[in-house]
Amino acid sequence: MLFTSLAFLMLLGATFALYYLPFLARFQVFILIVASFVFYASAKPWLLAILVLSCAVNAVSSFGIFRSESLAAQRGWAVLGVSVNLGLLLFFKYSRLLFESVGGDLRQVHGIGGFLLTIPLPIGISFFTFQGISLVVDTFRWKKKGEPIPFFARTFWHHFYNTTFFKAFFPQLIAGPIVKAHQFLPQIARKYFSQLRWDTAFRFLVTGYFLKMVIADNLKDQTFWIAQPYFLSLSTLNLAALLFGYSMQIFADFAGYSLIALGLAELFGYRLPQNFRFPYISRSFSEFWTRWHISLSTWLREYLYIPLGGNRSGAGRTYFNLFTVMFLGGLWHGAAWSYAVWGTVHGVILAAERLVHSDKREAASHWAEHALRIAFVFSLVTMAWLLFKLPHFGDVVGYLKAMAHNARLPISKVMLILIALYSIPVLLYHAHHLYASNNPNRGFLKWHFFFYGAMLFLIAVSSGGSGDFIYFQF
Amino acid sequence: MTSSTSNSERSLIALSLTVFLALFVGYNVAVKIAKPEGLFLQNQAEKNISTAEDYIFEKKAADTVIVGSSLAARLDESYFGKGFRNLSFAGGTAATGLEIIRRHGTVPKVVLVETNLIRDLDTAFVEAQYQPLSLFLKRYLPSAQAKYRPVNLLLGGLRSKTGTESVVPDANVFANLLANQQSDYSRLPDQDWLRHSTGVLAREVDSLMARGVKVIFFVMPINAILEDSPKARNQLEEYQRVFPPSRYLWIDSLPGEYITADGIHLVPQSARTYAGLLRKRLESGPL
Repeated sequence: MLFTSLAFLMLLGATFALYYLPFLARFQVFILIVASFVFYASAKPWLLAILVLSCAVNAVSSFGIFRSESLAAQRGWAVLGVSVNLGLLLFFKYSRLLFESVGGDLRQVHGIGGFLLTIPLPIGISFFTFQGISLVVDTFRWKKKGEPIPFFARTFWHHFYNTTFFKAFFPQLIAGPIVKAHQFLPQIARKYFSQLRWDTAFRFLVTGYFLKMVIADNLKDQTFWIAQPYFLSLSTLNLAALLFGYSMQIFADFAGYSLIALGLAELFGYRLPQNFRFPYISRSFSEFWTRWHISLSTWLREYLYIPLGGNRSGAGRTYFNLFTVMFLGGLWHGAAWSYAVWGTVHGVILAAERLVHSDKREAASHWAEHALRIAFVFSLVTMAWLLFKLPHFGDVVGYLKAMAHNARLPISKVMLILIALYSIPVLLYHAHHLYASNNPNRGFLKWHFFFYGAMLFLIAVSSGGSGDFIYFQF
Repeated sequence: MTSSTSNSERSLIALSLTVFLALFVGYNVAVKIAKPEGLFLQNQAEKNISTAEDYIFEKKAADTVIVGSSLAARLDESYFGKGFRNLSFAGGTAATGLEIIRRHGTVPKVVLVETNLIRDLDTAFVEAQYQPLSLFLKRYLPSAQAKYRPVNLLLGGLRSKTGTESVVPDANVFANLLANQQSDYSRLPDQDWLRHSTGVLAREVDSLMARGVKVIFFVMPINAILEDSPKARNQLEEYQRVFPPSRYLWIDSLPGEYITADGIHLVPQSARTYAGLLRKRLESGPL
């Protein structure tokens, strides 16, 4: 179910109304679980079985840790929980890739093997699996410290109930933000209509829907041409503009989704972590990864990079850890090697950046240098998105060759104008943040209502054709 | 339920909604009064929606309606003059256009069916156009129609100043595109699916013929290499099996010098030439 569909708005309206009815207050969490199940199962009801299985695995293993007295038993439960989580992800998401990578031919596999290898990817599995791992690991860490765990229910069934809610809560179920157990579980409590932060929810929702429906959905119809054989006949300038447009689109799509998720959660009294912080003003790649898909990068840091040793075990080990995290982070995005290459490219650049800047402190520099660095980081990030858009390496090479050879082809001005028109709001969104952070006493805050009104107007009259969120496929 | 929303929160939301309402009402009234023509459409999907909307909101169907895929969509209505409507859809097929004709209150006298490509009837697209709420909004609010989106008004104005863009293909690029098409046209479609799709088409055609519509089949010119390919021959044979020329009206190929942009889509000059010949053939008497 898409956040932009009429069916979703009806589900949201009904859930919201029931949720705040005083005589149903005891059932608030139950209402949200049911709504989340309807949301998740609307397209393929059988997917619900996988979600419930995943919830059960995490509830049992984390409760096992909670109830165990010895460290060995706690460790055993933790290893079991993480392994089953990864096993589910590996099976549903990567079995086909692994099979084909060792030379297997799906057309030759029949019966149960063929069935298992061709099961469609359960939507959102990458996200809810990572949330499940965070629950198991967080519980283990707290328990190891020997302190009472503030977010843990006393009985198994209550814990299972909370775990199901934590993993299935519909605003973040399909594409994040990846919420960690210690961020979400302590928030579970009765919520009051009178405490609703309308202003915050309104800002998140309007900006999110605007980015998704007006920017990403319209740019999608332009970047459609980044596909074989269409890009072959486009000029170098158009191909560069398309890449730029895709960079804007993927930001608007994912940041838009995340903002909608934050706004929806606010409507039910829950606060989800910020997922994007104006990534295209980053002056370095390390800064980029503190601004882009923050919930994933912090998850990878907390649950993979630091456990691997982080940067505490010498330069060689640090670089190895960096590559490993970025390689796996890339592969997390999709079951194709191009995603792993995309992650590795980022890993290489991060390593190079670390090497160059390892002993230098960030010095205050001229605005022109800042601008150049922003442009440099943005250009490389944008080039790397090609691996996202074109999962076949041959097509990526073909696109780059076309960029090199098609300089003399006629330029489609209309395409340039459309990409520019739909990219301007994303650029202004970033520029406004830069301006606002440098001018704390900004005077035009009082005119914000005009921008929100204009965004609402454009959502109503200028939305593009509804399309899946790009990150749904991950 | 009570709310302790602060005044500043209330004012942000209320003021934003006021701005929205002012812009929305003002825009719709302006478009209703100005009724701008010759608007720009941003992409294929939008063009398809706008083509369908224009047909659905027409009180009386045009005398002659063309249905088909992106190949026939190249035949701009202006090439024919009055009385023609082109209900062809890029990425679609004749069956989709026929279904929209069937649902309209009135029927045209003649329907021209392009037979180059066979695809499934796009029921999702048709249902989306006839969705009651959307239909209601589009009827009374111009901004709900694809062609009246603000960017289309803006670019429509710009295009009238800059003219249309050149689409004559570069030789190397054309060779690449043709090679891609050759690869596609060398493979036969699944025959069960093909028979199913032409079966759907036959029901659409028969239902219109039963209402007195004259249905005429034609083949858009494509590159000679592709014309003689397994896929093109197979699809035409299937069409002629379901709609045999002995029982259905067919227009023979209209010889001419045609240039395509990619092997199958005519460039505008050739599309104009072909449209002229097609019109002459229709006017020249019985088929």
